[in-house]
Amino acid sequence: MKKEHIRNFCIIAHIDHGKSTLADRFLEHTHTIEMHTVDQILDDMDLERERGITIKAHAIRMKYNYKDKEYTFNLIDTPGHVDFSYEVSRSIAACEGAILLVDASQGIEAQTLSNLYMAVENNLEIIPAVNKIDIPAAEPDELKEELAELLGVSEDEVLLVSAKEDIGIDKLLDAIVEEISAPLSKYSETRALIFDSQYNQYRGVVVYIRVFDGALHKGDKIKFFSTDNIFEIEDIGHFGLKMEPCEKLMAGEVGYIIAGVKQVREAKVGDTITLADNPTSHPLKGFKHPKPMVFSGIFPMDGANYNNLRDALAKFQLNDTSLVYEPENSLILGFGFRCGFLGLLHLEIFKERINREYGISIISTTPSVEFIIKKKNGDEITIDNPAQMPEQVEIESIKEPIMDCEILVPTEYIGNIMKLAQERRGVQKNMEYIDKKRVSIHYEFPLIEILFDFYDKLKSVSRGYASFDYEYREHRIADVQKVDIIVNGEKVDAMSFIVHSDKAYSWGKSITEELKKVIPKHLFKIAIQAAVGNQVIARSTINALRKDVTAKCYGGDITRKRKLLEKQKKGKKRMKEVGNVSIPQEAFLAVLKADRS
Amino acid sequence: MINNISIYIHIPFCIKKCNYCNFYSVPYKSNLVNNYISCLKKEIENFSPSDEYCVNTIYFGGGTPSLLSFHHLFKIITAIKNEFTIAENPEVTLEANPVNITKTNAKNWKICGINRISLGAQSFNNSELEILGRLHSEKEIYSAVEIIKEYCTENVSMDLMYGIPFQSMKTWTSSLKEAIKLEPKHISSYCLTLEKGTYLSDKKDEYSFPDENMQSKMYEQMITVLEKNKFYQYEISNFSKKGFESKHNLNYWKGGEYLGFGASAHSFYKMKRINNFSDINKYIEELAHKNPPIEKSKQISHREFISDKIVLGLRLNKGISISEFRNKHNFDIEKEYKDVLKKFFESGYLTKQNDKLKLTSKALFVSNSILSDFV
Repeated sequence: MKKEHIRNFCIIAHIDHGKSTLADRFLEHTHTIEMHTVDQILDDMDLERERGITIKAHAIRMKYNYKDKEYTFNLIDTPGHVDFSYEVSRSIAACEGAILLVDASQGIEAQTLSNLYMAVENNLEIIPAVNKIDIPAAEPDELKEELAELLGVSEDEVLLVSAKEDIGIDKLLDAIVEEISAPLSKYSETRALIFDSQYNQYRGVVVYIRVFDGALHKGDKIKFFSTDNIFEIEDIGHFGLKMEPCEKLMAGEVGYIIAGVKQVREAKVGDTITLADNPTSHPLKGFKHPKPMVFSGIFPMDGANYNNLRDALAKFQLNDTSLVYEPENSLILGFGFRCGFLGLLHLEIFKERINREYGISIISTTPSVEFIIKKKNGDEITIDNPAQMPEQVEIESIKEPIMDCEILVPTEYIGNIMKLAQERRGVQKNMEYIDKKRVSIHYEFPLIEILFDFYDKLKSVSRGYASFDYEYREHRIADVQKVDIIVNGEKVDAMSFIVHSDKAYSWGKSITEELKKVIPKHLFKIAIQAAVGNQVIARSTINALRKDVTAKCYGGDITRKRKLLEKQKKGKKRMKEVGNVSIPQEAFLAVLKADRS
Repeated sequence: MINNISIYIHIPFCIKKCNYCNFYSVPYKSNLVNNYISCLKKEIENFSPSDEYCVNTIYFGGGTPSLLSFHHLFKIITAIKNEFTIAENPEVTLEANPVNITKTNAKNWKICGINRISLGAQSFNNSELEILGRLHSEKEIYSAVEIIKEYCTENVSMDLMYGIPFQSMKTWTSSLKEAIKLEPKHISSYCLTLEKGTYLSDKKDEYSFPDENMQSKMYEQMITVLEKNKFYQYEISNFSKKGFESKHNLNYWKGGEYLGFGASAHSFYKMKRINNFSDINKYIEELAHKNPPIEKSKQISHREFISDKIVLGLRLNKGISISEFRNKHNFDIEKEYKDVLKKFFESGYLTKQNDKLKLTSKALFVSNSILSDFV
């Protein structure tokens, strides 16, 4: 296959802006699949579809005839959430072009913009397209003007499509041939980029690659640049609807290799593959080790499930490079694991999958970030668990992670955003007008301040219009302290958190109030306290249960009464005993839901 | 060996549904009633009881069984007598609404063999009665009791209710005292429960209900007042003069067998829990097609039987007999529920006196929290 007939591209779009539907139309128009046989082919995990987001990147090859010539299209799918922005960056790096797809009724979101910047930095050709032009709320003309201004193109170059109604798709496919350049090679030594890898139960790790230079053949001995590990290619091929084996992948092509790799962490996204006996000395740029930012203790609801949870984590990790874990022990929750995640969404997806796919009910502790603590004796330690916090007297200083954030918002909400940012210890770095109506504001935020309910708050103060994106900047000295939650005199270690001193009271207050709502009444009064060291800073009380009786019990309908009691018993089983108080699973989540302003 | 069994007859007709009631009932229409009574008769006749059973209680519940005419009631009683062996002095109860109490009715009931009337008094406060959607006034309760005692039976039970919107401790206490003055033999008393779909539940925002705390105090008050007047509490919500406990209900709480006839009636027979169709038309239709009107029948395990028996038995003030479970059912409560017992002995919600395991007085109004550990 000639390189000039290959087009590698991705679609940059916000969640729900119609990326998957557009991909389906492409598959139909290129006869890769028959019309409307399958909905949204590219998202193959239930969870992804339910949440409307794509967790892992995928790829598919299509054939398209343009002016009597057959072109090969490789559509590389990208994850759509800020937690996975590194994966997005690697998918982008595998392409020469990108379709910028924007919902006609929603406009551009910050994350789309940050992915767009990423694409521009990687010298991708951008094809702007306005989607959902068929819906009544659509404002395609306005958006057209905006996109043209943003990309410095003429308004005519912005395509109007409706993926759902199948409008404008052929024109868009033509544009892929016309606008996006064919792949180019730079070196003679073989270089291929890993843009994704997935664990397959039967075949080991399937490594998704884009070959930039040279070629890879079945049987080649290859080397992974970052680890120096050497493998032999057992199988190589393209992505159709299924994996289609072939003999080799040439420069410019996208496909997969299977090479006896046991865990996805051995085939790191962003790493360069080269030939073992003729290695390149120029690895592809941009490789990063994925760095977990959010940490949480994961404990089985039922202690007997510890081994099952351990096995599930090991399996989970086979397919998730970014998950890290190590054993942890909690006084309250028993044996479990401290796990690191890219972000809160990553954590949530993890929890749901463990529950759904492995059938293990788990409790997760209050998420924490990583603090660097300098002790008075000169030692420096890094902690991701409030339980590891040294005594106050031993601490010289604590550093917390600071994030670079970009908030994109219509001008009328600037005031609200600034107020919110102030509440969250944000430091404004600069503000740029994107167009007449919207600004991009750069902030530095402590990660702990934007971890919990920030996104929801941001949406609510901007009527849903603001969007944001962030990345790690540095650790910086901060006045933070540990707050413990005490239930009837027992410290619930899993609920401890580290917070800025100015906020210890308000967080403590709102968490004790939240817990009051979710912990059921008991036969006795329960005191819930938040404390810094020995000092109680907030308190709430759950009154004793006064009435819990089936007063009228006859008429023979024993079954109904029994069901009531069974339900009650089941409820008790789903709780953790802390001293003599039963704490429901939701209570550990309630800590997340409390108001953080 | 002869086993006692109870019979429950459901009469699902009401002139008007009460504002708190979610039991199955339909408006009284004479055609439908005729039809229903024939079906009831058929259901009873189709049932062929094993010889070892002897009926010692019969209970007409509803709905409003006191709406039935003499010949309807007589038909059913006759059917039961023809099909079953009846004990020598069976307890035969009829639930009655004060508005239906007339001399003629009372006499007829006596002829049918009714020897216990459960009177739905609910309250002696007219505005409370109105909120509950009852058709009677305070005055009608007095005359009703008088007539029943004179023409039917001295064995009168009265239902009273607390937790009614706008009810105060004062009006509650006064209802209790008025009831006592009428010298019933038995008092059942329930806290108003808001059931979904009832009038009061739909309108709950318009009323002010006594809170849990108040309800709990009303419960305590009731126990104090009734005990002082020699009504002995023998179950969470039931009080009686010595020897006048409801035998029919005791049978439920002791895990005995019972047969329910009529729409939505339940049975427990030969380790099966059975319930009939609730819908009266469906019930009639099934019988017209010569089918048993059963919606669901479930064989329960020995273990389920045991836990039901414990949960029900603990409702009784005298509690459950540990040795009975051991000897009769081969079940060691103290071993099987070791941790649960320990927990509740320590916190003072359960007590063991000789062979009897019982709830303590402070446990009664929160009993589900304790009982749910036994299911």
